[in-house]
Amino acid sequence: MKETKQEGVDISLRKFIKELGYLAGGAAVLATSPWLTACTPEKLKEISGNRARVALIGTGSRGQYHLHNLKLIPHAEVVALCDNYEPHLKEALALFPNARTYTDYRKMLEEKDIDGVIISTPLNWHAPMTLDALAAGKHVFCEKAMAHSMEECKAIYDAYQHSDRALYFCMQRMYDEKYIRAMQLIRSGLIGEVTGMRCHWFRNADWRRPCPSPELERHINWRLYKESSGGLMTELASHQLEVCNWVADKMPESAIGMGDIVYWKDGREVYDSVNVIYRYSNGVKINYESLISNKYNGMEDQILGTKGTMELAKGLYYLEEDHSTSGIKQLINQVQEKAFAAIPAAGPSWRPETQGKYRPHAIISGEVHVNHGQSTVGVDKDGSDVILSAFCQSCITGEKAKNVVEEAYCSTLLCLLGNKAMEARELVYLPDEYKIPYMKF
Amino acid sequence: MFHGSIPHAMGSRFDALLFAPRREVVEGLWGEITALIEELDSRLNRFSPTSEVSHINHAEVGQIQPLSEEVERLLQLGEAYYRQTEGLFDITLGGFDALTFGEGAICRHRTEVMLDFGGIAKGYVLREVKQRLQAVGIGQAFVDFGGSSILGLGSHPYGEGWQVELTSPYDGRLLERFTLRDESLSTSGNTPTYHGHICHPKRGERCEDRRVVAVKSPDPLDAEVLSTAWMIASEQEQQQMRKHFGSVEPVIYNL
Repeated sequence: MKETKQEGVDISLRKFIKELGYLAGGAAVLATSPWLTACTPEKLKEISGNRARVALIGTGSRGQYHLHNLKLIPHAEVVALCDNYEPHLKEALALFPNARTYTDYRKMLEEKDIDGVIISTPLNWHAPMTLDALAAGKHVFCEKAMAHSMEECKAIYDAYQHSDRALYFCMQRMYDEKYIRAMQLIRSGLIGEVTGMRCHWFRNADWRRPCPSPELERHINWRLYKESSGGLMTELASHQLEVCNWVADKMPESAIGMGDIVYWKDGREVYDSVNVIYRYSNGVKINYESLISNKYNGMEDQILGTKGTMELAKGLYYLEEDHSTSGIKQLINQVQEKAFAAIPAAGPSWRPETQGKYRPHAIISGEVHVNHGQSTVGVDKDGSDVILSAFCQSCITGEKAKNVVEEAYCSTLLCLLGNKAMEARELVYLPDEYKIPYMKF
Repeated sequence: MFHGSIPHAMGSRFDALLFAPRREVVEGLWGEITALIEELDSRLNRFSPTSEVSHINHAEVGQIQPLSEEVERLLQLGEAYYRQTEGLFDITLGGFDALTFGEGAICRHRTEVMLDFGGIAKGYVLREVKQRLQAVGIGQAFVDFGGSSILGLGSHPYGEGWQVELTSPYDGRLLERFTLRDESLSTSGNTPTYHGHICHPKRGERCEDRRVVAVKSPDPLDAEVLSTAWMIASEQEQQQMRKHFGSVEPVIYNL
């Protein structure tokens, strides 16, 4: 596995955590995001020269997105590709011409020179493939959501408890620096007590992929059919509900909601409009909404506190009473413009709170990558590259990432609970048999 | 130019503009500064039930509690200022006479004695920051802790010293323009929406006057302490305090 030649760019795990450390103390970063302990800069240094031999199952658009990221991870080597849809497999092979190709993933799992498997297939395949890969002794990185049903999620969770392999689900917000930093700020009391959360994801597109022939419809457009998809909840809300639990540090007890096919009446089975309210034991609620026939509102994860509001997707926060001084900003501008003047550093903190508008503050300094939620594949620098790099690191070290499986389990169960609530059109509770010790209510 | 900020620490925002030729020196120092502030914040936060100060404040009267080196150091400073201000600056909200501490232990002897480091912590941080900056040879910096505690080291790159303006919280008019050169400025006062928060420890009276105090001093901690004490001090008490603080002259603005 030793490899001296390194290609591509180190995609910044080192820099990422190091910079976060400078912002507010490395220890604090790891306290609010314990999964990062498996991929600290020091540990990355230790594996220098090693490469994880990984294989990809599912070479569609999202799979190819991961392949592009893998090209930039120096400690990854793509050794095998698998798909039962030839056009995609060919496209993937063009990216990694030296990789072996397979049409049966089980055959591929028999290969001894594969350390880890990346699963980027329709939701209904997540559980069988993850379970088979763990059983074959592979480390596993699987796309979200965790699985198609609560039973399957529990089966994966249980298998993981008895496995020494690392398992990741692509909950990329957990590795997105603006979210990690925001969690620290929320814990520090910046926005006061969190009393509500509002998440939404709006698009104006039919969510269809071009289908070369009718018999491939359910294969290509698997997201639209209940046998293979949990619809907007598992495909979109899973990320956002994970963030809510991360903020609340607990799990909602119940959900109520309504879902409909309002506009895209094209034979699909999953809702194109969902509204679900989740309730935590303290009365705090998550208001979740997704609609794919209007994109005006875009995508946002909004955390409401007694002293302020966080808009995590935009990387901004707003304070109810804004005491922050503008003096420093003026000073920075002066230095950049080579000017000198007095700044009102001692004054504004006393101004009566008369401002009518909320002033946006950046959660992190420097360039912020904002995901407006319109891409159906993925966007740059949303944490997907970092979590994939962390997985490859785990393939080498064997170290599991703390809480990643548990967070994915909780958020997926919430998605499935939301679907249950919308189908039943009544208040539903999380069934006791799917509760795990990690959940706090 | 390096800009570091902590949006929320000790109830305020912390900003530092540091100027040094080698970025790695600044970054290393910034790591130290954030660690210091976080450490103090977690120990001193009265509103966090798990903080060291909360444990001390909520322990039974007469019960001996462990005391960290950092908090003991601050208590020693607080006690020294208590003496130098003739009891006007009191972080125990009830008198050091009802408190025993030392060698890693502390004991409250009266229920009403509660530790509150709000009037000293920011000044202490600025003093520490100043010392650490000077230790690594950084002589040009501007550090702002919450708008009311400011440190200016050296000079603005394009001017003499660092100029800050103090405005009236009541009508926004300019009260004073200060130039800081290796000095700090601390301000205390009442505002239309926030007043009566400074209390005379001996007489128990809250200061409700339309008043602002500004103190410029080479020592950020002296400035911090005096800006609070001067809000409530009578002229006679001010005379007494002057004996201990030499050339530092607080300015009172009655608005």
